[in-house]
Amino acid sequence: MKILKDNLLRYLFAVSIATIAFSCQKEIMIPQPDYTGKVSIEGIMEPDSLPLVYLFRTVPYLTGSTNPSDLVIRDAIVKISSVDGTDVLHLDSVYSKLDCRYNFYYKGNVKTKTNVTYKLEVVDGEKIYEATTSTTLSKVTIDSVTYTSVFQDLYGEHEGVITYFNDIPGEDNFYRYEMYRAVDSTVKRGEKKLYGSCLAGDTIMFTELGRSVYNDLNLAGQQISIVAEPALSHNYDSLRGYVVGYVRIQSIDKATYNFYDQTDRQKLGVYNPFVEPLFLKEGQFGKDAFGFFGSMVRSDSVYFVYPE
Amino acid sequence: MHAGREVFKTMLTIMLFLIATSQLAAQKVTLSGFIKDEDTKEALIGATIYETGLQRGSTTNEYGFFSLTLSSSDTLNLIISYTGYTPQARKVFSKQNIRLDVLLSSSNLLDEIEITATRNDDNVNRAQVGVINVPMREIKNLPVLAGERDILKIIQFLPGVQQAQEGTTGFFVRGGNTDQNLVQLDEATVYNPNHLFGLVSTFNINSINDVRLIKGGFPAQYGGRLSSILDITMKDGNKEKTQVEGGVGLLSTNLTVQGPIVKKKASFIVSGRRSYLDLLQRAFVPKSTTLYSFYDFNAKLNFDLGKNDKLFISTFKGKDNGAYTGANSLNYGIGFGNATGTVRWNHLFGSRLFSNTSFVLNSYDLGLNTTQGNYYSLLFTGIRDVNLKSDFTWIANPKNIVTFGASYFYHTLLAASVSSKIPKKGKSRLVIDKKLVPKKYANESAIYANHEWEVTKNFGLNYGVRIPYYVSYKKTYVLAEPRITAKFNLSSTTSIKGSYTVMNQFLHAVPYSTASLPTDIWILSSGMVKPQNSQQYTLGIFKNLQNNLFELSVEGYYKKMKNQVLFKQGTQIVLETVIQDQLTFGNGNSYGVEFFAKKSTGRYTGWLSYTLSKTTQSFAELNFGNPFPFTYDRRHNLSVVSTYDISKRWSVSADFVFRTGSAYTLPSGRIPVGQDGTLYDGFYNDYATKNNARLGAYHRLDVSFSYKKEKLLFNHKYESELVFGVYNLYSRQNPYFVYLTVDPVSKQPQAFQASLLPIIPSIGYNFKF
Repeated sequence: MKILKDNLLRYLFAVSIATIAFSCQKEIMIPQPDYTGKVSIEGIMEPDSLPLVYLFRTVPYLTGSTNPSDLVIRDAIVKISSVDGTDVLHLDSVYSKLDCRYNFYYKGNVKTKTNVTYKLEVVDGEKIYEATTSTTLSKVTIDSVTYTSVFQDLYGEHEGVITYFNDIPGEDNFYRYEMYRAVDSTVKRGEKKLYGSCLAGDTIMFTELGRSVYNDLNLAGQQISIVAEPALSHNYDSLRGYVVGYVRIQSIDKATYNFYDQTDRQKLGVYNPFVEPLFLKEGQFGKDAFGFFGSMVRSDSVYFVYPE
Repeated sequence: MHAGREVFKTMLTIMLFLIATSQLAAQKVTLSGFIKDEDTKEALIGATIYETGLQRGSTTNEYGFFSLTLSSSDTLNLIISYTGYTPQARKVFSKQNIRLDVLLSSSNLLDEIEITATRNDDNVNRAQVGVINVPMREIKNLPVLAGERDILKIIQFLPGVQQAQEGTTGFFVRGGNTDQNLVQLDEATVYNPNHLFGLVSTFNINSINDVRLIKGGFPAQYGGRLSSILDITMKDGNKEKTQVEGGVGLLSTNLTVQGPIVKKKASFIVSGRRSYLDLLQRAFVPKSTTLYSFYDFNAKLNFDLGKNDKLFISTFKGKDNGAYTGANSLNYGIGFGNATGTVRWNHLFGSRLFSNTSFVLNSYDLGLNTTQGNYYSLLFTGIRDVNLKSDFTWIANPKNIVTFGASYFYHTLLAASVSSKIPKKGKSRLVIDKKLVPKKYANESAIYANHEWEVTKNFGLNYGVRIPYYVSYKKTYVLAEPRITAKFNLSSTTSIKGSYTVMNQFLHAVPYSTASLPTDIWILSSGMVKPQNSQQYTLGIFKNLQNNLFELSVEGYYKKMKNQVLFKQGTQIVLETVIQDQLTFGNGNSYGVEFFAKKSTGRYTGWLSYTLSKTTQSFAELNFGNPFPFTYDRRHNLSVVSTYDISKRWSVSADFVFRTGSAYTLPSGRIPVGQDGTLYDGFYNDYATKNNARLGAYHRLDVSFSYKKEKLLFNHKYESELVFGVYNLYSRQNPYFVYLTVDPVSKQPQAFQASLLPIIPSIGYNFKF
């Protein structure tokens, strides 16, 4: 049945391409729909790391600022409490040479422990948002990482980094791919060279995250393979040599999975004009705030060399 | 089941009582027979026979049959007429029932025909609403896209009917989805009446005799769909002489041959059409990556088995084949098509009871194959129907017409796929054996009775009930569908009509794409998927002017639809495993006012239709449970269709359409992404309301000129026609869809509008001999 549906989708793509080939297009101006802003909260707890919470205000789609730094909620009170006490987070930032801007977040002071339940409380003016998570996740062991130059999925035909690992039996598990690698000003995203003005010849370390998240439905305890499309380009260069990276698999909890699964499927819908868009469901924080408060644990990393 | 049977029995009892009481009158004489074209002996559907003294008349049914019972009189003065034909006056002397078969000759007069008093005025004087007979003579003169005249594109010009996508044949009627339209060819369901993804319909216009669209006030014999019945009747074939006609357009060429098998007794018609883009591509662009072809084939035999029996055997097959050879060894192939077979037997029991019994087989297939790299996969889906039905029309007298009957459908839905690595040379690939494909079954039957009753000279009723009985995998639905239409004449040329109808639908096509593509997924009603249901209220005023030369109507409707099916938001089918799990169910509401003005005869013919309507849907799992506009909710819909005969040889036609843009969903807000925002271009979207934005208005003007010529060729009359057409004369870039992107540098969202069909000139050549 799945293959049947795969083919339908491929066929639709072909027809869409043919349709668009005959058509012409132009940029149009659309009036901004009425919009009441909300709050976005992304909080993640990883054992042996300091808690991080990203906090933003949402903006009107067509007219709002496009600089996330402008949208950071800077005067909120963010607290994380557990049996060990309460940690009041402070606003911090890190400069991203890729994005040429500061990324702001609330950072905790006490490292996260395993097997502890944490409660997040965000006070934004008169509104309070609360959620809990437990750091009970188990990390997986990666068996191997390979590469394919041609892989076909919803995103079309692309290369892929394939990570093999065994699911942890007896629990509902959710996974995400990440690769830690060096990038410089030559790196491209898709066909466009987007980075460089701030890198100024530097090489920095960067973590690529897989946008898709996976669950172990029907694969409990079995080997799982995740094929991830590299976000950034990689080219063998006689000076720099082969591009290498360190691949890890994130085990994430259900709240985190639900959030990223929705945002991923929403993005797919945006790419395909024939698919009805996905409205984000009400999450842990109720109807006035998007986001999640979840936990994560990462596998040990595996060294990977792109076979150029 | 018990309740349905009781409703049916009660209704039948009322009908019989009313008819019995109305029979208690003076001595009667019944005239009955068929009205046909003099040259071809083709049945004339909707022709009128009218007695001038008693001022009573009747119209022919879809087989050309009429029955007119009158008070006995020494002399009956009859006028028999049909649009585009020379009326005929007859005097009849009889005290007994008479069999009267009438032949009418086609009229080529350019001027208005003056004998108009007896022109069909069913639109005013019959208790029926929401019924439009599409005049085939006018269709043949209307502008065309790429030289292809198309019945489904003409339907889109009618009030209450919305076009699906630019250039396609898909249509929406009074806020209903495309699957809520039952398209029938000689009583056989055509599940996918499209070629070339909807640019052309499967119906060859040269083989069609009559087209009728019913969108409200459904008589009880019709069921199985909520929104409309498009009833297409094929020609029977010329019983007098062999006739050939055909045409050459930019997309395809067609040929129709008809003639007698036994003169005046039996005839045939064979009609075929094929596209030739693929042939041209093979000849001139041998390395073309895309090949596409389609064909359709119609054939019909009809036999007069004596005065009271007729037998019709008809078949239709249409098929599309497309192939795409892409880069990286990526190949696609698609084939889809319909096939139908119908055997019908007409029998006359005396002069007042007409019966038609039909046995219909139909099949719809969609096959896809893909090859990519070292792998290949195949997909097959299909529908098979076996249908047996029997319909009776008892014309008790001009004031009472009863129709009753029963139908039975056996539905089979199929779906299968295989995928495998391409085997080494010498080994064969896997194939899908259609006999082994998993199937799902359903039984759908119905009984109905309907009574059209002229209660007084000014007041008429048309009421009935249909009881569908549906069984699929131990789930049974027995439902009652009452129908009633009332008519009140304000004058002989003006009437007010109102109707109430209930409809149910057991087969659902869930639209996977908003385009009219053959990718709708058909599913059966089950315990989880309840039958779609609608209740429709209609009220209208109908007026004819200048002895029925002009028809005017204003019709309002309100339609409530339950158990509508859509995919859940964001559904990408490849991600899912079970279709049923991805469905969501809700309700719809549609209301509107339709204005229609039409002139059918004379040098100038055409119509104007305008619809003001609003359609909303409400799904618990969509739009946070709040009502939202239907995607094809278009507030204003205007069509003007005109044909003018400049001379005997030249005619000019034009159509203009204006429609409010359809609805789509625009994000209301943007949400910054915290962790690695580059994955989402920095933001994801906050959708506050579904279908909160509108595409720009759609408007278009098409024009065509036709030059007709007659000459003798080998001592036979040879008629030819050159058609010059221009689609979208002022090349308006009408919106097809809007898509959103984010500027990679500024990160500012941008909206782009894609348009499909600019100005398209065409030329076509038609011939007949």
